[in-house]
Amino acid sequence: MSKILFEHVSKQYPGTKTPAVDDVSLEISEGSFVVLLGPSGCGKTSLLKMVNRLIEPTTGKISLNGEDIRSMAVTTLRRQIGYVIQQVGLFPHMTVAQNIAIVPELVKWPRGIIDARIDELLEMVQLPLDFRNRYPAQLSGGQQQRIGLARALAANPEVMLMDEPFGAIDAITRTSLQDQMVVLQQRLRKTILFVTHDVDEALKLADKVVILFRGRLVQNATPCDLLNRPANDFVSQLINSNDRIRQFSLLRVEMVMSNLPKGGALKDQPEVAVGSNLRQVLSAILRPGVDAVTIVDGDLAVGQITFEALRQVGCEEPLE
Amino acid sequence: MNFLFNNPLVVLELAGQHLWLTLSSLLIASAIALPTGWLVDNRPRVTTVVLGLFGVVYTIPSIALMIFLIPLFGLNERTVMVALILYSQIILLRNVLAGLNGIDPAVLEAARGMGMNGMQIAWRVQLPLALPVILAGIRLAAVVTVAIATIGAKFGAGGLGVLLFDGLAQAGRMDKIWIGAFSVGLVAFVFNRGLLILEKKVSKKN
Repeated sequence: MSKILFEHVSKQYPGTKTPAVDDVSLEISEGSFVVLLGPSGCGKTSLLKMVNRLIEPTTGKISLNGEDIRSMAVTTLRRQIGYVIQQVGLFPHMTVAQNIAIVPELVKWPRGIIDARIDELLEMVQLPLDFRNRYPAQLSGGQQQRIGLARALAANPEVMLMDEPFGAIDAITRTSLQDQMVVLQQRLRKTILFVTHDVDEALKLADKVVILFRGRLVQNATPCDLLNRPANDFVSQLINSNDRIRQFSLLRVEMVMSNLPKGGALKDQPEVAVGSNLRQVLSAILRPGVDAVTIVDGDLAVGQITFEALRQVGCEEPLE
Repeated sequence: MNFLFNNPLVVLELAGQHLWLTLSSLLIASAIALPTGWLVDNRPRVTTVVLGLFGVVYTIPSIALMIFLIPLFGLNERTVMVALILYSQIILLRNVLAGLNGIDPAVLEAARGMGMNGMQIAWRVQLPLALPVILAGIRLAAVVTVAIATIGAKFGAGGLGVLLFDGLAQAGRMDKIWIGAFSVGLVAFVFNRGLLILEKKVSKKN
């Protein structure tokens, strides 16, 4: 079942000629990581904020779990959706623990459970437990956004809305946050709607990328499909589909790996871990006498990627 | 000085009246200005009207304002309190609004996005974050109120103004005028200090 469903959603701001969001229909399935990608002003943030009703659509309908989001109280709706924004927006007069406790307190969790949850979340975002009593001003930008993420996850929402969460963070920290996000999502399987204008970030994180341009949905595809079959020149230019080495560094092995051949993996094949990118696969496969690599999850072989399969990724000419 | 040594209790009683008049007016004034400021916040047109109105009130000379109010509240301390409350509104409102405007919009968006309702945001986010600026407004209003409250003596509210007006009426009782003026200054100073300490405490917490 679709978790979030947009049906012919449009948004026209007063005093503007063209709609910010123009007749978008979109289905987001449970547990998927969907990235809304496009240049600034393409309507991606407007679309995101309509889900927790910070913005109301002019026309169209949005459902969560099959239920029209206008059928419940707006605070009830928001308390079951995690929300992360670029500027983080931690409460400066509250400690880290108090910040994380906001939503659990709003939905009246018992104190003891909230306390245990705070520790669990700090561990999850890889911050030391003694951060509990720090104030946001005492944290770095990256640490603040980790707390922002922990705060959004606090009451264990099924749906997360993330509005350019790593946009204001330095490149090194951003990469490590993205890597952690991938690991976290493998564990938590939330339904995530994630806005960015960073193509690399989109390809790296997404199960599905939704490309928006001037308020319209241009393409909704997996990262692999997006590289293979960009819907038009705009998409092709946006994702720079000719630079395959760069793309390889963004695509995870899970996206292209195939099942192991009968009889298990070949003995001498190099091994690459789950969660690695295709560029690492490429380096391994370019060694003399190697035709395929085995993908391993810990000690367990879970799949393989052949040189031929690698060649298929993003090799077709973009459609004119 | 002799007057003070001969009548310490009289001066003390008048100072007490003065303090009470100022303090109760300030409390009521803050209780009005806080919700008003919160309600007009983010409504530019209403804000302009309300601020304009209290701005005009502030320009009315205090004696004239109190005379206007006598038919409504009588010749007693109530009239004086109402006048003091009216005067302090513009100062308090401006600071309440400045305090609210100084809050990072991202913090408010996060609060809304997490599902806090208007009251929860007001009490748990806006008030604590705007408090230092609001307290600065109360401090400023306190000093102004202490000064204007002296006029209250003319309208039966007592207070340290009694000494000033008596001194004037008794042609040349400079001792009374000196003691009155000095005491008013002292009360204002105490208010200012006390609120400043409170303000620093609150800012430090933020």
